Amino acid sequence: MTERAAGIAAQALDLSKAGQTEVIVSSSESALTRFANNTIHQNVAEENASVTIRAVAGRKVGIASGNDVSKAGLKRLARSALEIARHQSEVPDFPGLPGAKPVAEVGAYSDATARLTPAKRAAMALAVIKPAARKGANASGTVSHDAGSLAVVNSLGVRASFARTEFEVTAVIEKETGAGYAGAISADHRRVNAKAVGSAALAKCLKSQNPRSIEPGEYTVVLEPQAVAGLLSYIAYMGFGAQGYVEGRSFLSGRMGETLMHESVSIWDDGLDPGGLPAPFDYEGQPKSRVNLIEAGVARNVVYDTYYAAKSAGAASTGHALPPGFTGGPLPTNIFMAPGESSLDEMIASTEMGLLVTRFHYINIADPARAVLTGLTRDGTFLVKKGRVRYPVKNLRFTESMLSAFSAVEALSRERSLESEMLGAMLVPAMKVSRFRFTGATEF
Amino acid sequence: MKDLAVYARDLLGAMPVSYGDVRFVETHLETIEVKNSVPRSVTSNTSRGIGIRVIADGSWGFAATSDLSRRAVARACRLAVKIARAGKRALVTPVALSPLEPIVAQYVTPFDEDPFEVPLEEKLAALFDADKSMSAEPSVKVRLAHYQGFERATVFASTEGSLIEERIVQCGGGMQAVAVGGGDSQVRSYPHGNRGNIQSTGFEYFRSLDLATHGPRVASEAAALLTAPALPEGKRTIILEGEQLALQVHESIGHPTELDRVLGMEAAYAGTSFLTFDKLNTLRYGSEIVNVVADATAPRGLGTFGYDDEGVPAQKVFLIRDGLFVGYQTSRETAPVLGQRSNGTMRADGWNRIPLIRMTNICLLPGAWKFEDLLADSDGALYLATNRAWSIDNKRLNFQFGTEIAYEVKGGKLAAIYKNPSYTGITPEFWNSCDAICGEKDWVMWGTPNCGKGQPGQTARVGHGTAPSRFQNVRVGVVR
Repeated sequence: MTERAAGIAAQALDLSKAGQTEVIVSSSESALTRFANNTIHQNVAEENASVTIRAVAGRKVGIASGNDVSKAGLKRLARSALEIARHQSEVPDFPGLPGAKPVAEVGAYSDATARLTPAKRAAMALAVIKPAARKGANASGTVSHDAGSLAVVNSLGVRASFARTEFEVTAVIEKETGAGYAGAISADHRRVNAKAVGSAALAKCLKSQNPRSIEPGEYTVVLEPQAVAGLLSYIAYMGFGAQGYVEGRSFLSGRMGETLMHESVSIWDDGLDPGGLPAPFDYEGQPKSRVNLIEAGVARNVVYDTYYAAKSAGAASTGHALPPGFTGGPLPTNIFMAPGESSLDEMIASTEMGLLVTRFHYINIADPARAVLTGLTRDGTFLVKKGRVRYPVKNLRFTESMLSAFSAVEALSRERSLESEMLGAMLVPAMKVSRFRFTGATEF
Repeated sequence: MKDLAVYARDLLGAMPVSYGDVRFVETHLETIEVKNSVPRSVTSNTSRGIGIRVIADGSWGFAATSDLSRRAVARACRLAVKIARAGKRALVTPVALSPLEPIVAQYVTPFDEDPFEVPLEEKLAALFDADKSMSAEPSVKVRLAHYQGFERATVFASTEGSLIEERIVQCGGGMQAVAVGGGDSQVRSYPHGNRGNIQSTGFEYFRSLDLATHGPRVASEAAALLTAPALPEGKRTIILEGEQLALQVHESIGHPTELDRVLGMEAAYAGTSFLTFDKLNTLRYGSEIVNVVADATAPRGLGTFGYDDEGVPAQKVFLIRDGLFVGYQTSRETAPVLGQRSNGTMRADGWNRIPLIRMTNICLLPGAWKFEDLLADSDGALYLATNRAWSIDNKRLNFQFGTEIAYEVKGGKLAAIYKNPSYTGITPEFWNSCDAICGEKDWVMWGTPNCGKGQPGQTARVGHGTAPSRFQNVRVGVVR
């Protein structure tokens, strides 16, 4: 699978006349079957291969990308990148392209998943739809797979490539006054049980009927893994990249070594851990290192690419460059959060008065300096009283500093779940937080 | 590429499909970012390919390829049919499209100066000037000036006989200053949050932004925000600047009026809508001065085009008239539910995505007020400017927005400033509290180039025309 991408990359590199050249080839064959109202309503497939060339002329850098991978197309692209570089101004702090480093092998590819057919996707969609329909509920969701490869080469000897697959089933099941969500993701579709995903979403939907209104305010919350992942992806986006840290915009800026979260909280990034969706190198072809971001509540590190490592004394690339042209700097994309010693049931049982949250919707950053996020609950929110889930409640809006929330952690679950989020899949536990501020309510 | 599109269309005509369309799309995006006097990113991206969409056995199928050989295109046609037929097992009601007469036409965005013909050096020079104009404030640690030019060429051919060629050209940019100090960071932008503003027109629009003139104010306001008090919590009269109002329109009128959301077709991802059919022609969405249209014919909007991606001509339709909810944004598949024809809002994010109902230009029509009169009439109100954060529930009722800055209105002027302003509300209550809308003179077409929807994810470029407007009794200062 990687040979084609590596071959295109090598050919483009040969065609470049720049002083230094980097070529990134990303190829993908993907398909997605989408259902709603108990019927498949969108059903798509795509094949694509895109090439990005970073041409360096002295300290001038030009970036051109396209998806014409014919020899003529690659030649045009190489010429365009160099032309941009020549007409561009100098980048005084450009450190040059990185050299080659050994890259680990990861098992991220399943041939069986790559070869899934439309009929098999439809069968899995039906495994979600039929039980929901039998209960008079409406199933929506997706069955999707993607088989791709990434190759990064440069004129300083970097030659990195790997193949990956990704398979995901998601389900939102609605009935009259309530909804439930469940999802699962893996590199191998055989590790995902679509029927089980549908059953979990349906059970939650049926429990969510006739929600009651409750007043916004401060509550103890038990957050299921999908809710934890939603918050953590924004925490990572706001705080764990070198760009915001170097520029003083991250909530970690100037606070490295300080205790910012509860001692039970450890968060790291590890592109080689098979418990996630592994990726052995970044978009500069640099090997991914494990980076401890929060260690027992203490801020330890952010992730780097070559550019920001060169701007930071004592730092080296941790293998977290994103594609050239992305202006947000390096970010963690293989996040893990340490488990605890509790379980979801034990967290509920130990709660005198609180809320059980399945997941959050439309999270956004309200104040990056204090890591304040806002968002709403969705698809299953319940009142917990005297250790038992009592009844579903209408959705609430939270506005809360994540430094406060993650400092008020009371328990983490032993079991962790791989959750698909904005920055990629992350392995996270369920989490109980003693104080979490809800600032508004909605009507359903 | 017209030949290839026609070739594919003719292949579909010989296959067991009740409908088929072919879209060849080529996009070109040029982006430039100057950061702290360094040209941090200069990129040129092109993407081209062909997407085949069919209805077979009553179900949709879609296959797309970047391989433009006839063999690969024929393979994509066969795959689209195979995918559609696989959907038959989970079919409840066969897809039926509203009627459309075949159209053979061409459309090109009107512009004076092709953005792709302007030399890179000239664009960089303007951005360096903009960067420099923000450099006087020591607490401003990050200065950004950015530009983008975009073009999209489409050939659409359907088995019903339509053949449409279209070229859309868009251009714009902006600037931002980030002040850092005392454990805080504050941002000010011009003319729009972190994306700048973009319009469907030529390079003349970027020139007209005249970034460098605005740099000193942008930088000094960012610096001043560091020591400004946070906006206290309370219920206040607020005036929203047009740019913030554009996002308010987007989130609380644009998305809920998309008929596919109402029908549950987006329930798995972005959600549904509170605008159930019983509310059509009965819901008092806003006060009587609130008039909102979906207008794909409006000049300069990012949702301005000749024909949508189903080949339906661009239209202007009312969504809210005199405060009453009167219409949805529709497609050929969804409009028959209302006994209507499509009002032309189907657009796809490139060759490799199916068209979805997407906002065109959702515009709040101008009112009667002059901005200076509005300020003079609003002593004690807050003026909130430039979007910084946004969030709304999955039926589009409970929203919360943050802006970069809030000003007290005093004696008809903008006076003391607050940092981290936010406001929150429930959609119909909020729009019913609107008691003043500024007129044509202050009405601007804003661009939102990053509207997300669908699975796999799609990004649409949509427009919103707005003028500053006043709302009563709004809860503010939630972020503390």
